Amino acid sequence: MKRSVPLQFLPPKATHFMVSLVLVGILGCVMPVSEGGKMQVEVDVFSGRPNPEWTLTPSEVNELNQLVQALPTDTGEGTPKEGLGYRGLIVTKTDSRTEGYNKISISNGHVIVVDQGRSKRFADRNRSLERWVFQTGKGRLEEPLYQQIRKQLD
Amino acid sequence: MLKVTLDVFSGRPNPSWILAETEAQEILKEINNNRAMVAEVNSGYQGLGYRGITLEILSDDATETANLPNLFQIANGASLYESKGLELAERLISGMSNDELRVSALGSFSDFDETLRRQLLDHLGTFPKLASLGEPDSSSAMSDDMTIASAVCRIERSAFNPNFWNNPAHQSRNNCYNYAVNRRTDTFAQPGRATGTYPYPMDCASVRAAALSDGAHKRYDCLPESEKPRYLIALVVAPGVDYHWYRSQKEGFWGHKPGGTPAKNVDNSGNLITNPETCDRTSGWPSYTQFCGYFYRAKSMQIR
Repeated sequence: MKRSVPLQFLPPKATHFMVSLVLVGILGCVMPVSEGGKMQVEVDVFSGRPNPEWTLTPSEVNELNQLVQALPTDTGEGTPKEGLGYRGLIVTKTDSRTEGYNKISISNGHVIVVDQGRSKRFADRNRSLERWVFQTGKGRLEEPLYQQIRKQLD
Repeated sequence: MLKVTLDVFSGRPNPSWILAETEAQEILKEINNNRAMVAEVNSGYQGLGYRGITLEILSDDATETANLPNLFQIANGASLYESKGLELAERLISGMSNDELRVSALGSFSDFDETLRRQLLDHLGTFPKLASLGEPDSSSAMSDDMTIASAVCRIERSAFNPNFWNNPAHQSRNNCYNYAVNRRTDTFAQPGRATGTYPYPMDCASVRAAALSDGAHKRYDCLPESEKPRYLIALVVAPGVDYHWYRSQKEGFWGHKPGGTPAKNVDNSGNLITNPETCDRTSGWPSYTQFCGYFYRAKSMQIR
């Protein structure tokens, strides 16, 4: 005679494992487990012409989010750049389903993050976040422009 | 023989000189062709400082002088053709330290020093204007371009209103061109895009052509009243890279909007922009080194 074991008599670990499997099976098809989402970098440099932009890869988005989360609060020294010439970088979420910040403005050692309608300021020490985001443009931004702006970051 | 006197001082004797004959003939010919610029002596501005230029014909042998009074003034604020008078005044003052144009100088030579000459030339641009519909476009920003048109163009100047442009819903969608032309299209408008001539390469000639294609006029190519408001706007270019525009405002300064950033009336050094030719537009990169000229914005312009 075959005996089937009812669920409630399975050891707890096995139950958990099976429930997880089922859940992943259902949800895995609907929501990616670790999706970077679509974010776009805009180089805020021109006055007349539209600014150049490119899309970050999912792994770049993940790295960006980690870097932003690690930023210290802004102490308020100096101000973001305005006026003519290279001013900074603006990263925006292009897909509303993407997790994370709506907009990240990076300029002259300051970061302004807009998330769910609220904005917060952080400090970009040594402009390292700005440099990291900018270097993702290598090969995506026309080379002479890339080189000229890189000089502004030194 | 033509004697020129600058009616400018209060205590010291006014600087005066005799023009070399060929220059005198040319000046008189110009005056004869534009008689409306002749005014009676002391008929114009009578306060302190520059008041006008007095011309005195000292001989009867020139063919050009037959119909002119022996003594008259130009560029004194009271003639019927002040812009032409100012043009001639500029020529006379520019030439006052030029030995080839000046036969003898009456009064001490220190009267002809460079500082006075430069100050007078600057001042001519803001000498009392005629009151009328619109204002005459009489060179409030000095430029090396001496070819001023023979007609006076009328322009309008609007009050500086940055809040209209810095509204978060619109700020990033409108650029310097939107601002200069005063049309918030939310398309980050490009010169020529509405009329099919997108500027390439990025130089004065191309951007100029694109703006003209959209319906702007070069300065001194007057627009009719039907094109009001006719703003005075200025174009600069970072060669091969980008362009930028400024608009002359009612308050006497110039406003601009660098890309999607806020509209303002100060330059990169934080100074109020009184002259787009000399304001700081080169301290960053791109560096907008080339000044391409002034234009009039027309109501019927198309931009996109």
